[in-house]
Amino acid sequence: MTESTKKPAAKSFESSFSELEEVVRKLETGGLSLDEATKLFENGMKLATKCNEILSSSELKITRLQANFAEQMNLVPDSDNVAEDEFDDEDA
Amino acid sequence: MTGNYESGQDNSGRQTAYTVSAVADYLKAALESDPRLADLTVVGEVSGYRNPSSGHHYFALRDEQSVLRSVMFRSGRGGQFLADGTQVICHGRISMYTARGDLQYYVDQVEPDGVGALQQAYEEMRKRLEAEGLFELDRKRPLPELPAKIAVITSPTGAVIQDILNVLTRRYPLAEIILIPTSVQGEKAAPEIVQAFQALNALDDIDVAIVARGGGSLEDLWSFNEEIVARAIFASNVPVISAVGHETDTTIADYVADRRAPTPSAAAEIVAPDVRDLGGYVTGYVARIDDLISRTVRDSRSQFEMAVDRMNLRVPDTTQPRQRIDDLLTRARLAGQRMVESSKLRLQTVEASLNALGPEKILGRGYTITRLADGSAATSASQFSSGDKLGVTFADGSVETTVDEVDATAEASDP
Repeated sequence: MTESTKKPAAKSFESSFSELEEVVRKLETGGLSLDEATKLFENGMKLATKCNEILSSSELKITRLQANFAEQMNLVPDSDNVAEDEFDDEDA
Repeated sequence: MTGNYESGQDNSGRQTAYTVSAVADYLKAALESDPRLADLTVVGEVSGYRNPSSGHHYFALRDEQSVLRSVMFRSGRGGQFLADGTQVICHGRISMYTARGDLQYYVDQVEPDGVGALQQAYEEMRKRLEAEGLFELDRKRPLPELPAKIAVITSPTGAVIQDILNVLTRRYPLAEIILIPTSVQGEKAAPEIVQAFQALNALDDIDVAIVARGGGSLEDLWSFNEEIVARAIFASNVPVISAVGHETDTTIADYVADRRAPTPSAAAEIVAPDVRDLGGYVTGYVARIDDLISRTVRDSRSQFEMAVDRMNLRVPDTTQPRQRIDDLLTRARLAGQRMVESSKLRLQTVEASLNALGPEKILGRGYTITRLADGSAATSASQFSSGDKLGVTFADGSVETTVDEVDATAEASDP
């Protein structure tokens, strides 16, 4: 699944883990045929394996926002500086 | 003017008239020639503080009797301590601003007058922001359980970011860290932290943010007591964990944040769970599935045997396989218990034991699956009528046969 490799590890884990929870919930509810139970069991084992793979093989990704991020995002106000002259706008 | 200042009279007996500039220049030179005024430390209270966009600081220093007009250019240090009413110690020189005729104190460095003054300013602001509701507990947001993107607002160099990355590498390598670099002390720090939060709010997929700084003096940590920083944290789109200084330091930022961590490392532990714990939850679910599937197989087995008995089919001695299945179930249960106690490494072992319980393996031990004419598994003798096709699946193949007689009504017909 190319989609899951692109997703952040935390998201992949979260979705596999909640599917695993769902499998347990269905098995706990019961009333399943042997066929259905066997399929859930197999799916649950696959999901557990996937979860463990994500947990053991993920690496922390580090992104650094550029130091001039504020300028890039137009967060720095335009330099409408008044004249450098001291006290140019001061009233006595 | 190159005049002779002493001979203040001309021939007619009238005083010489000097130009304004000449007098101003003379005063300026006189002031600047005094070594004491050229290297002067003054203590006083700040009033009339202004900080226009030029970046320079304009204020007056005063005490009960007198006022000293003061300026600190933006290159000066300690501008963050300038606020009306605060007591400061300044260093600088006295000179003359001739264009305005003002005697001025040109400050190059400002320090708070002792920790007492800072402490007082801190307490005042804390009370004000508290009254405004910025610290209310019911506006604190819960942290996400499994954050995918964690923003870290701190200095890009130094131990703090390294500590945070080390902890997350070890405990939770599932996330992406977005480092938003800022100064964390000095005059630039507060506006940069505010900008960092603005940048954070412009990103739409961040789950949680950490704002952190290592230990230091109250002056060093002061940026995190500034009102603009408090308001930036308050306005954050995502929950914020603050980790400023050591455990004993509590800044305004800590009060506003959704969660306070005693140290930057602790923030990294609070922000996400440990993968070892997550692995434990997975293992717990595997054990639970193990237990549930064992029960289902056991139930199916007894139904299957009842059907076999009812149909009076010739089957091999069922005592032995039955015992084997019981053994397997016991073993699976023990394996499950071991799983819960041990780590996720045991997963494969359990998978293997569980596979041994699969329907294919049961077939290998003498059981068969009885199928209806459409190929689906039969669960009751009443599904058959005399003359119906009946399929029997063995582990290694199947037999097709025809039903001679059905005795489905005899509920308790034990041969």
